[in-house]
Amino acid sequence: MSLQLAVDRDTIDRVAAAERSRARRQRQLATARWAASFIGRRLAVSLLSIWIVTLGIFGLVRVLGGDVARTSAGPDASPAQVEAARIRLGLDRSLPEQYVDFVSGIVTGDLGESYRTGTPVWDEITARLPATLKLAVAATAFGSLVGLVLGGIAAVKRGTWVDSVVSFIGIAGISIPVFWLGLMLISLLAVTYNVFPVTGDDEPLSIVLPALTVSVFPIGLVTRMTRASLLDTLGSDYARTARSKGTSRPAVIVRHCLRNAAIPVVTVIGLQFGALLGGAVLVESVYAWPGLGRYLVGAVETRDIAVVQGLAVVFAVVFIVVNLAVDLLYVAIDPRLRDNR
Amino acid sequence: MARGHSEEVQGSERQRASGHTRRTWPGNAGTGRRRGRTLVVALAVAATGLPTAAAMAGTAPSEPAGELSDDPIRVAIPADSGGTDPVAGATGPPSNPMRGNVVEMLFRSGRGSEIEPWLVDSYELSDDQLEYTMTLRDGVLFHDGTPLTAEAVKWSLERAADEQFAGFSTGLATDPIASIEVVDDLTFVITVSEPTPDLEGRLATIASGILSPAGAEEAPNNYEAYVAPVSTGPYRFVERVPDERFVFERFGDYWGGAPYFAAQEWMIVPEAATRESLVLAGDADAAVSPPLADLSALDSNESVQVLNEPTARLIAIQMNVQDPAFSDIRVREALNLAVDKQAIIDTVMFGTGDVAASTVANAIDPTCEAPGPWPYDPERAQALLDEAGADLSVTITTPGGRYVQDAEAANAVAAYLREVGVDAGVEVVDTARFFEILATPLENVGSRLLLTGSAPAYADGGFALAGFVPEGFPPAGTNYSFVDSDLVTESYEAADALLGDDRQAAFCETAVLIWEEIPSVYLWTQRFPVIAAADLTGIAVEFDERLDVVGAQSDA
Repeated sequence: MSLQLAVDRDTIDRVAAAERSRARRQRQLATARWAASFIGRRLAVSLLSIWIVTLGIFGLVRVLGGDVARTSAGPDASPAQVEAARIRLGLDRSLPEQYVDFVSGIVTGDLGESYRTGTPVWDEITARLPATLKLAVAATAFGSLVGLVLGGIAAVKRGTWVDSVVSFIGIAGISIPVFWLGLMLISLLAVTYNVFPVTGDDEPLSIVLPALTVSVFPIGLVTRMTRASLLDTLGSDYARTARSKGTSRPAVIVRHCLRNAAIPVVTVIGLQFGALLGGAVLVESVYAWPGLGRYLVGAVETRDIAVVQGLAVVFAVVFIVVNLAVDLLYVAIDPRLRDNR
Repeated sequence: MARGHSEEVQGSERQRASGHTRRTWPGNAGTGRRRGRTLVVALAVAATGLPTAAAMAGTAPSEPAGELSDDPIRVAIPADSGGTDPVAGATGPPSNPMRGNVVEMLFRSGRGSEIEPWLVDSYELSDDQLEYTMTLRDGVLFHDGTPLTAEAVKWSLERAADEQFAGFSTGLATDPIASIEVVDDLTFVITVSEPTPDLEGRLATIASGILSPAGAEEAPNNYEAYVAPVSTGPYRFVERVPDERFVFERFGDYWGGAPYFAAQEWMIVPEAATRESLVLAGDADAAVSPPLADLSALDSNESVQVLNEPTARLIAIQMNVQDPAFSDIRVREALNLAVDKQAIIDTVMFGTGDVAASTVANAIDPTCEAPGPWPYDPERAQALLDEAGADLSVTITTPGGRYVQDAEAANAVAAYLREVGVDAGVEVVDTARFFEILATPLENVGSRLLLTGSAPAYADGGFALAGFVPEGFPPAGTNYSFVDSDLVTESYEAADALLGDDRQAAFCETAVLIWEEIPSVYLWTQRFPVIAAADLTGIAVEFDERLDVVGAQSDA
């Protein structure tokens, strides 16, 4: 009798294990299908977005005013020389022809040549991308870390003087003009105390002042967002339930509240990172940081069409990729989003 | 090619010796349309009666005393140049570091306006003024070790004339040249299609830079893109990172002697306060255009020196004298009387200007007696406007950031105009749009006021005034005020037919006639502020807004 029961028990366990395994495979398959479907949909939307960007930037550059051929040839060039420049730049062709050329260049990876430097736009971008990436990563990482810590402290210490101080820091972070802050930091830490170099990207310490300056806004934003979001979750039913079951407050905050509070914070961080990848124009100018932001400003000023168009497309792609990554991160943080698809 | 007062200074060379001894625009004055002789040659002809004359021999650069430095000199400048190839974009901002440091020309110009032989040792002009027989300095080496030869000059100038590099600068340099014939290793003959009294000035522009033909075969160079110029300057080109820096290294075999500093690094730093900080922190040895508001404080800072030298750039607001709004000369005079230029210079320009007193900048010809300036007399201005029955509503169009404090200055001028009842506003445009506006033909201009900053490519009165004759109407030329005065044109053409001192004096009188036509609201001639470490010696600011640091040494 007992042997029979033991066999039945083994059988039940085996069947149950097989069932769990099958269910797991099904979930994995479903997740993979969902991910494929999600990414496919987002890619389709992304391609549409990029196409709209190409149309928008192509049109905008041409309605900005200013004769690109004359800018290229110089202010004192003769009409014949301006026409020669126009032909050289391909601006003598019809707008549809120019647009088709632009889009086909994107497809083939040829973004054209900068008329200012005579070098391929793609080469110019890849030469500057590391500097921009380095600044964006450093500033986002530092800003996010400090913002999360400060926001968390403010939420936990709500209503105290600590909360007031952190809230002030948050407001100051999003309010302070980075241009002014950059110059002040240079004056104090580079000129007066000579701790950091004023400009450039050729020393390890070179990144400190630019990254600090750029990170001030994310610090303010993430601090405020973390505080508000964490306060929401701290007052939620599941937090109260966890506490009533005897879970310690720190454990409730770390295990339950922070994860749930993370989604809006991750959104903010992702958007900030995406924006910084497009170049921190003012900060790059103040610190002569050799990134994409400065490059774009110069290109717009001189109507270096190929550069402006190429950069716009690259920025669009970068922003879309970052947003896609953030969306996927949501699912990792909160599986309910996947289950409620 | 029509010429006029160029919007950009281009192609001047460094100048160590300078001086003004004549009532002239010294050097090679003239125009591209009517030709005369060079002053130098004309004087020699007058003195000797000979058909040809050996011209000046250029002053060789002086070698630095004592040991050479192992350090680089670092200079912060606000903007990048258009490129490195002398014939394809290397003109760019006047402060283009390539000029004189890496790329050298047959002639050079600088402060003092003299245009003197540089790579040319001597030259002769034929009796019919069509053939220049030039002899190069002996022993000059290119950075690749090959010698400077007449063949290299021919190759360089013919490349500059190649249609694929068509542009203002190349045309200015090469348009008059019909042919170049090599006589021997160091001698060549340039034949011009018509007498070209300012050929030397043209050959001092960077587009006529002399390059090594062999260097064009070495990567990354090729004929179409000579992006790492191999020339004869005191520094050898190392790299240019667009919008970031130029780096040059000392050329030990430089014909004028090795320069003191081991290298030059020109840092592109768009923010003025950052450029200032670089010098104050010791991260740069000099900086061009520091914050103007800081100049007085910097002047009393013992760790730095401030240079604030006059240039040839004339800032003025061009009126369309063909338009009914400005056709009455009383209106044009009123607008000049209505503006307190000195007050704007003091408060908006922070002392980086001198009230304009002539149609051409004083730096071009300090000896030409100026007819101005117009005094500040708002009551008289108001009376003249009333007398003319003017009811003006105008917009001052200005570039934003192309010239020092341009938009701010335009707003200040507009405020003064409003004080005398003129409904004046300001439109700020970017560089590309500004260039387009400059090229607007007469029929589309209307009653616009346009702030311009004109500067000749080389010191030449004829060059500077060519923009005031009818054939210079945009888009062909730079007569932005559309001056069409028989008196001015006749005077100009008469001056252009003269030689030597008479010619220059006549151009001086033409300048007065133009001044009396009042085609512009004359504002100021621009100064060029530079700060440098106090222990830096031997730096100089040229009349064409170029900072010369080749002769710089550090006393530290």
